Amino acid sequence: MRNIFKLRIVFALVLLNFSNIFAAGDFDADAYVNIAFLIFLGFLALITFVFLIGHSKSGSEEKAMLATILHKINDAKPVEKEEEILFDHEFDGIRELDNNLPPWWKALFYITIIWSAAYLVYYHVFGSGPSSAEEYANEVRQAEIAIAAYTKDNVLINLSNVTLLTDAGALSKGKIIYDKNCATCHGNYGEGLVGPNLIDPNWIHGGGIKDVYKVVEQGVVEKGMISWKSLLSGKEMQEVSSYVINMKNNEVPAGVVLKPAQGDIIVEPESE
Amino acid sequence: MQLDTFKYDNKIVKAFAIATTIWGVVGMLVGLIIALQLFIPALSFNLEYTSFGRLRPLHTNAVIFAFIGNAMFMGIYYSLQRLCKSRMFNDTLSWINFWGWQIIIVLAAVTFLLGITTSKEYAELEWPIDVLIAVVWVVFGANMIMTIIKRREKQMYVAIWFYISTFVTVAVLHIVNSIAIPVDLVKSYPVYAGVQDALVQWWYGHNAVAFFLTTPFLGLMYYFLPKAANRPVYSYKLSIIHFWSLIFLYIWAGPHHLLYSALPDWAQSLGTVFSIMLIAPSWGGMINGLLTLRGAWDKVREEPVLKFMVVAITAYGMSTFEGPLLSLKGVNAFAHFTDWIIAHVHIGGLGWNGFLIFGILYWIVPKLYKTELYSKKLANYHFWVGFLGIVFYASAMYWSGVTQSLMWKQFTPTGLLQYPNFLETVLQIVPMYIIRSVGGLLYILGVLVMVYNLYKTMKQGKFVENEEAQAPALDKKPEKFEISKPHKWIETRPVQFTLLATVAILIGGIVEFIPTFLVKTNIPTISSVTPYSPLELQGRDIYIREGCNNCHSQLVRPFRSETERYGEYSKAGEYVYDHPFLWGSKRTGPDLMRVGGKYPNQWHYHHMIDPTTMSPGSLMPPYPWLANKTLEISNTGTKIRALQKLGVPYPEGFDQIAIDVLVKQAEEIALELQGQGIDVTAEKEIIALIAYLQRLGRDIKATPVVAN
Repeated sequence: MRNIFKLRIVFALVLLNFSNIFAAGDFDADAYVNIAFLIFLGFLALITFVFLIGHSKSGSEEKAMLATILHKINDAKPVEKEEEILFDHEFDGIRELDNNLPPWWKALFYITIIWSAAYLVYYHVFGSGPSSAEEYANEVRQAEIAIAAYTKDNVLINLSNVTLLTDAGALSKGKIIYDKNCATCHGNYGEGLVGPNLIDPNWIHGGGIKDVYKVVEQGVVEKGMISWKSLLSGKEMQEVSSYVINMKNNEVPAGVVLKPAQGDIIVEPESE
Repeated sequence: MQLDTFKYDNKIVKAFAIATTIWGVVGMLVGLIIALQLFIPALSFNLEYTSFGRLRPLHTNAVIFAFIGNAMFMGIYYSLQRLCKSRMFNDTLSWINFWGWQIIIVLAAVTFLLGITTSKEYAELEWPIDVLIAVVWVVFGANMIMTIIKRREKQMYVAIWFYISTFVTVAVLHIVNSIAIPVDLVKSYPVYAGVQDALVQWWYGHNAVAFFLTTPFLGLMYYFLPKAANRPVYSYKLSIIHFWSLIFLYIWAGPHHLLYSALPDWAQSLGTVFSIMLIAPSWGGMINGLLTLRGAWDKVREEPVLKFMVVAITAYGMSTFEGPLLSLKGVNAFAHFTDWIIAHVHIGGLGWNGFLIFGILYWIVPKLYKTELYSKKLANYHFWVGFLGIVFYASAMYWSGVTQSLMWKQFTPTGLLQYPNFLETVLQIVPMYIIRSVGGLLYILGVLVMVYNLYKTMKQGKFVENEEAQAPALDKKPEKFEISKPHKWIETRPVQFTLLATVAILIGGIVEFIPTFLVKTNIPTISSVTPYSPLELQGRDIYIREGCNNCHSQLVRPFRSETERYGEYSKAGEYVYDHPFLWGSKRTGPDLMRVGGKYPNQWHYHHMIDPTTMSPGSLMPPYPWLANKTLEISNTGTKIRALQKLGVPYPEGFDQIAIDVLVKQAEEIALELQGQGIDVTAEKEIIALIAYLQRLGRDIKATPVVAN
């Protein structure tokens, strides 16, 4: 009995973990994964079933019933009558029974074979199933349609409509993006590390909002500045670019080493 | 009839039993260390010998070949003698098998820590050790087959069928996958490149699981389970059908490790369908095991040996169902490269192999020592703590795998990745890594309790070195063929049995390999893809030495979530000069297929010295020694010549000027780094590694793809 209790705790723990996955919320889980997990839960139930047979009291009604069910579904000789199908040979004391193959097992085997043949025919004989390359092309096409629908209803920031933001809210959002993505190369204060100094008056690629936005969006790959286009949204690039332009106004603590200036001095970056 | 008197060799069984427990503890401890390193990177101690990339192969090889391998020999040497009613054919061969195997294990441990590795998973050992493995394996096989031939039992019991197929298949797998051209004693290049190398490797990798972790242990199950339960085996028919279908179908399923890769689609589909067809044959073993316990379930409640075996068989059923499930394209797209796979293999490793081995040890040691188990209570304790360990381990890794995959694939409505920074997806699962290591710790605690229990059992008993037994001499006349019982014919003919099993396991590999190797359209070439420069080649060998492939894949799959994150999906033609292929099987870190040109050289320099400077919070260990060690360049010419022999089109005589070319490229990179204020010289290893990383995936960008 104590063991059954332990078992229940263990399975409760497992189920708890699985339920957490689904509770994770805003992810849209693939249908396959849900199916996979359902089957898996079913399997755990099966194990519990097997254990329960093992743990139920011998001679109990419950046990006799389970045994009958098992014999039925497996087309097996009941234990009491197994002498009839016992082979006379033995191997180091091990005897063998001549039970039939369980019908459900045979069916499973046949179904998997038929399924496999159908799978190969579907994908490779008739070519009706998409190849990996076709699947990819479909996925991209569908995404493009979805994105186009979304952008039709929502104005998105891009290089042609970007403007300099100066309100504190936008700048503080820009700072969060900067600290997370840019500070490792440009320094916490824009003083320049691997990447150039951002707080001196010099700009290598121009200091207007469109210039900075363009560098963020497209990168300067030959010098190691990556393109952030696939990593940040237009709005985020606008916020971080505005923050970068505004950075020279921030206080820089003593002791921070400034990277020597590169590029042309642009005293008054044109704003628009 | 005259009775022969003979003696079973128990000494060899005892030796393997002791080796099993010692290596088990060692292998699992290394596993625990690397589990901890994943959330405490400082545990790599900034030492090259103890970094994750070198310890991970040590863990996998130690548990597979040292722990499980020794256990397999233990069980076979014990059961085979008794099933054949004969001592092992030759004691000297037995001991060559034992000591040879232990020497291989020690050599493996030393060479892995030194960074001597081929990078091919579960086949990381370099060629001299591979040769040794082949010799020792053949010694084992010869000893076994000869014992079977001179047996005093007319029929071969089902356990022996499984032993024979194990011997034959592992020999074929090991030899075919290990063929390589040596550069020197500690370095070689495999003869296969890219996609072909991947196909051969996963044909090996998958069937190492099949024929090293599965078939020998099914054989052991068929001996030890009915012995321990004192029940007849449920169905002889089922044994026959599931044995032959299992060994024939298993060999085909390797490509399911390469779904959505650059492997041709038809080969991927074979991997899928043969995995699905494997469900029933695998479950045949589970059913025959569990149903053998009919009428003995009361014993299961009392007897720790049987408890362990029942969980083992159930875990076997679970993982052989989950495996085919993971071979379905949709599930694979989701689960591959994530921790889900780590959960899957540990259900098999900890549950099936581990628990079956513990059950056998608890049964065999008292038998060898003519006594009872010292403490059933401790064995029960081991059972529960081990079981909890598996539950913690697996549920944490399932959860982590699902979380990872969902985060990798999540897009925003504007079509951007929701989590473009890979590190975010790593830090999210750190709590799971912690729970996993708790699971591992529990499991090891259980094993330590077992070691104590078995030690006390040995102390209280008296070891019988040579156990006397009697049996009638074999009636040499094998069974005639009878249509009503056709299988009896082959059961009395070991040589024919071995040959038929060999044919059964060769077919799948041959059908998959020949077209992939010979039909040109399977690997469309890309004209802009050229061989690595000498410096990049040396850098690649450092990448292999440090085991970067243990955490980083080099395979962008054809999904939008991957092409957005990593760039154009991988094409077969891009890998034609990759000896070996480095696709990897797990993304603990991001894919590196197209990392070339993504970051500047100085970024890589700082990142290798201390990853957290460029990626705050990174869990990658630092590689400071790369900036101190001088690159060994004297072997450059030999390496080029070896690759030329394998068909890599370096110009004639290039090996003569390779060092000059290498030095020139190294100086350019060093000069650039020095210009950025980095104190580094051209001859350091880090320069070569940077050169290699910067080359990755660039060829396809150079000019448009031309397929022929």
